[in-house]
Amino acid sequence: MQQNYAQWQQWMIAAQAGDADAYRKLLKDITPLLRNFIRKRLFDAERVEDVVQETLMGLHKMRHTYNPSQPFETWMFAITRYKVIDAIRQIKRQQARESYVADDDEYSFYETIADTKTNIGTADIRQDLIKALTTLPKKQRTIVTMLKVEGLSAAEVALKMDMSVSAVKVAAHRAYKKLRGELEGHGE
Amino acid sequence: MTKKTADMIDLLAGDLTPVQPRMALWKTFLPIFAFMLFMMAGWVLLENLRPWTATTMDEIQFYLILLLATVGLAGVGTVLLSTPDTRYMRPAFALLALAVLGWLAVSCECLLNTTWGHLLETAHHLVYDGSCWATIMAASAVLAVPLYLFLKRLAPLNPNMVAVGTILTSTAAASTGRLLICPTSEPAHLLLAHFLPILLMVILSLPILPRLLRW
Repeated sequence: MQQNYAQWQQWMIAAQAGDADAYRKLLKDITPLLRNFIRKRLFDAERVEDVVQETLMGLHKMRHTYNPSQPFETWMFAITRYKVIDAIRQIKRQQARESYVADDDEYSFYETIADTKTNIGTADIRQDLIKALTTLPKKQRTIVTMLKVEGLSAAEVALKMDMSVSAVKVAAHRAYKKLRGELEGHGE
Repeated sequence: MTKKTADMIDLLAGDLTPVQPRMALWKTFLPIFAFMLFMMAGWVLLENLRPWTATTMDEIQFYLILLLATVGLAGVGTVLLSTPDTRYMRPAFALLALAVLGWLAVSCECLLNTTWGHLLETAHHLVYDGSCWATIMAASAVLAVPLYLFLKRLAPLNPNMVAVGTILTSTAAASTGRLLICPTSEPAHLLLAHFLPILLMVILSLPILPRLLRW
């Protein structure tokens, strides 16, 4: 597929000047290419979209490091490559430490609340949940609140907290685990 | 494109603010090296310059040249490795490897010109008089801070290698400055008190600096 590198370079220069439309076009245009690049290097198919999002965030965060007199694609692929290597390292670390499936954790977290709900009243649950939330470290508490109370997506939380999407998910996973432990303790 | 990614693109576009684009590379190198030279010159001026005769100059010029080369190669390699561009990756690694070779060369030269007995004696002496290695390590930390802050504004693409390069640059620069001050030209002293702290600082920084450089 022939890529329109010159057009991307123009859009990036405009984006550095604050042109949101050019920036949106650029990100939409490069995303399929990034996804292909990442898919070829990452053996965990489930993580591809996460890494695509992290790469987009990386490009956004480091947009000032692009020199307009240099080619756009070499800058873009350097950042993408860094994000892919980072993701591979994270996957290896996670595989070594724990098997992580965020949805399962969230499911069992709610399951715990449901189990607890059958034993005690709603007001008690709220109290227990608030109490359990206070036991979390501040960062984890903020992340859980943003995800579950404010209804933000992991990517939105990542952007607000200046973290990567997977770091947000790992922090949320740990928070759910701790909350589950706290609530199970109360339920018994 | 998944809905989440499309939403994210909208989010990022909404969050867009104008930024000042990165300058040309030589313009980014210049202030760092000017700062390092300024610090080194100030340090040498504050203390007494080593006896500057032709003999002593001959003795140390090999070390000075190689240490300065190490500073330059490691500095340029580190900045290249923090500049997102796929074309810079290989040259950056090559420069860092050459910088390590520079350090190895001065260390091996000292090692070959001394004896184990002399090394042990000097090591024992350094326990009581650690002015050289202590000042090198302190000066290295002082030089590493602005270098770290500068690199943090770029995008370190390999935090471990950038950390090694940062400390190699700052400690080699500190070692060069100390070499101009210290009156001793003993190979055992130079190896243990001037060149070994470079390796020590790199090892000490590895558990912390890469984490700070990650983005």
